Amino acid sequence: MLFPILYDRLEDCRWSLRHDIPWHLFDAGRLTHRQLHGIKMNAILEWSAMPTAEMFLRDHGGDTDFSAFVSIWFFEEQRHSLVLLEYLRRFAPDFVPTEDELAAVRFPFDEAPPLESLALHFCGEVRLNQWYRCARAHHTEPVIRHIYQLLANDEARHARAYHDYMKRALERTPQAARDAFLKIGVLMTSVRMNRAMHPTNLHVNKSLYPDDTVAGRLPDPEWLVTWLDSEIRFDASWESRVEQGILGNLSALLGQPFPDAHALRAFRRALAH
Amino acid sequence: MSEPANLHCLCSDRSFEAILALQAFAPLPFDALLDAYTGCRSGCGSCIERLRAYVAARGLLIEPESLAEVR
Repeated sequence: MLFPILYDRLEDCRWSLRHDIPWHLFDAGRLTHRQLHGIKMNAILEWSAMPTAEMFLRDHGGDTDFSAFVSIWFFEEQRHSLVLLEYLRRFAPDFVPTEDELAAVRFPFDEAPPLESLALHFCGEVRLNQWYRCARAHHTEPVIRHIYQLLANDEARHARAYHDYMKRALERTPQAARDAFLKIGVLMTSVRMNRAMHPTNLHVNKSLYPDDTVAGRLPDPEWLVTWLDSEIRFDASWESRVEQGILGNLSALLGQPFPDAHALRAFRRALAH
Repeated sequence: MSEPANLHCLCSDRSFEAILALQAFAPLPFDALLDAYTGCRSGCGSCIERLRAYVAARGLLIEPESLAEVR
């Protein structure tokens, strides 16, 4: 079981909302309204861990080890939302989301193949790690910079935990796991997709289409792309880090070098023939 | 026990192999290696023990104690 090991690893790194955030360093002069809007949207996006946790528990009913891990993951993701909400409550109460705005991102996700979900969320954590690091670089207000660093580190830790479960899946069901991971890896490193390739931007409920992406249910549905392109400026250099994070770790899992996305696609094609 | 894998450290934006190449070029005690060649100290920390195993398996691990012994 990986759960006890991961529990220890994550417990060792746990930070406290009360003791580990330097609230006293807040500098109101280093914030814009647009940045506060972004913090609000991030707080709501993080709230969507709730339907994701519900999906994980439903779709991984046969995997008690992973389901136990979801308890930690869910706790930590909700805390991400909470720390951003607390920041807004203290320093910009007009930007605190309403309960209805938070509730809007909780809606049922269609059933999804568990191995693909696992790989998708590994890729999502890799991407989120870079988004938050980029957001930290964009902001100059010290408290939110500190918070974004904590969030980025948590997401990297989650990515490593998902990676551990992917490794275990490859030991248990090698072919099915390999096929699922390659499929998602190719999708998540495709240049034809836009730069907001994250689970919160995917359609997840056919019956609600097109109103079935988390990002689309934000109070400002266009925010994510604007935030990435025009505000934190998540440019090609950041995108390249995401791609290398995904490819490098898939390479470690599958024992094949994937120097670029093309190599991953070629490997998948070769296996299909 | 299986060979430590060449993971890609997200906080360093580098693979273990790339970190190892830096260590081979300019060897440092492990703690200094973390400071100089990785982002693990300010990052998530998940890779530290795996990286230590990876570097050790390739004979490039320098622990502070071994430096003390040399002195």
